[in-house]
Amino acid sequence: MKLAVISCIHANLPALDAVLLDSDQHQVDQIFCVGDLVGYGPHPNEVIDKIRELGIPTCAGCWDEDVVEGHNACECSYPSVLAEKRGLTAHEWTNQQVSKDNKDWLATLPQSLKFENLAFVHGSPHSAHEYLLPGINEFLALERVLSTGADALFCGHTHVPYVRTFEDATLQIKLRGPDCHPTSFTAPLKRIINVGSVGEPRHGRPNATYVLYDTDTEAVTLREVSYPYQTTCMDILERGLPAIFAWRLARDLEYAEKAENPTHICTR
Amino acid sequence: MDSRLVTVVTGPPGVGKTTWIRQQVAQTEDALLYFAAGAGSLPIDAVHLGVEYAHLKVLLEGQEQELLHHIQAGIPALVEVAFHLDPIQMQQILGEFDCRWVGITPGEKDELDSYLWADELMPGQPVTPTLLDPQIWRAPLTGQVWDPASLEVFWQELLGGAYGNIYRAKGIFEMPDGQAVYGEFTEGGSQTGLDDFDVLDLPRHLQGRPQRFSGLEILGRHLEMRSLSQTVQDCCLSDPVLADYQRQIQELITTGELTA
Repeated sequence: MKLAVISCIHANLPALDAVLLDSDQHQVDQIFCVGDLVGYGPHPNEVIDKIRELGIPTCAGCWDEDVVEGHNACECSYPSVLAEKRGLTAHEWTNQQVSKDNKDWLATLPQSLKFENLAFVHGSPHSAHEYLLPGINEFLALERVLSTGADALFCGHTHVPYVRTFEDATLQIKLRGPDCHPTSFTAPLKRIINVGSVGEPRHGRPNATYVLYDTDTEAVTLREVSYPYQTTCMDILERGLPAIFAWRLARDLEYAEKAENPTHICTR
Repeated sequence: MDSRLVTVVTGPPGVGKTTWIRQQVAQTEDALLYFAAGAGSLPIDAVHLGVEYAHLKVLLEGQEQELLHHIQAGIPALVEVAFHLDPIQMQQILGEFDCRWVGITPGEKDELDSYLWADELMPGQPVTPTLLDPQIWRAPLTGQVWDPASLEVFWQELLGGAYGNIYRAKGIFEMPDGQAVYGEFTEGGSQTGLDDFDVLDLPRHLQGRPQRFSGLEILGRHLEMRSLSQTVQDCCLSDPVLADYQRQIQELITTGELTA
């Protein structure tokens, strides 16, 4: 069975359309979405409508959560006060734009999805706001995979696609106390597969990224798809979002830069 | 230095007027005057030079009479004339003195007609020959303290053209660690970032908002002034955040992890 896993669309409809067309050309059987349908981009309702119309199983991203529950990003999401203010501006704009019906639908999104031996989350199994960056401590990374009970954990949130494999990894836990003995877990092959971002790239080119996964061969294919980002930039300007968002998107820069510290664990 | 008391320096923006003046100031330890004509209420170079050289007395616009008084008393003066001022205006002020007129040139022969008034030409940095319809955007920032990560992002965006075509940018910025830094950029020169900024030799300011001068000056075309203003505001720290930073820096100084 061939799967497509998408994430971080960020209200960028031309990018989503390009990815859906590409996945169709690859004869995908099922698409999963790991959240962040909205935020920063100019097409929040159009993107939600399309995901709903296509019946794509979706878990909640941090931006989807915040539109429902109110802005609640922790400081680790924003490495500068400028990024934080831009994030807040985008949140307020998005909050005004998203219809009640779509907000109600976002509120129904689960934190995670399971399919056979695969798990799908936005940030990490612990929080949609937590970054599983490529360089995160091995112990912590493996703990996050094991906590799902799956062999492969699909996530997004960092906007940087990557595959990290743990082969015959062992976790040893020691507790302090008179009757505590070290406990070890040996895991078979486990993987974290970050699927990148459809609508807000961070890999150096203004292209959408997503992942194809073959459940029979376990082959992962990172896909990079070009799309008319100029259309998104024009809509950013026309719909009253800050012009700097269009400038940054056209230059392969995220709307607001993200946390860079791979050792940081979100404590929210 | 030349025996004449007054040296008047002009040239296009970014050509290296202040750099040449800095070289002259560094050659002596005798008292010197510096007057920046055309800097208005944002004398960034003047403040920068004044911090750098204790023997340099900096005079600002509005202090012309004091300038003349000091020259009459025999103190040599270096007068930097901004590109947008006609040197003839300084001639009217300094006419009674025997002045040495120095033109800093970008090296283009076509431009030499504009230096007919100069006694001497000095080679400076190559710059864009003709700047059409330039705009100057000036932001006095005294009292504002920047978030360093935000300044880095803003500076990259500024130099990248997010707020218009930038020809020259320079500024003095207050940092939350109590230091002030000077940064600059000229089109055609190398890209600069926060690591290239000079830390000014000033005492750390760690009690509330600093009242010493800071500001930003941008020369360019099609400048998005509203967007610039908003972004600069968004980069600066609120009172509670600044107080928190200052408390942490003071603790580091108290424990000896940071020098005062």
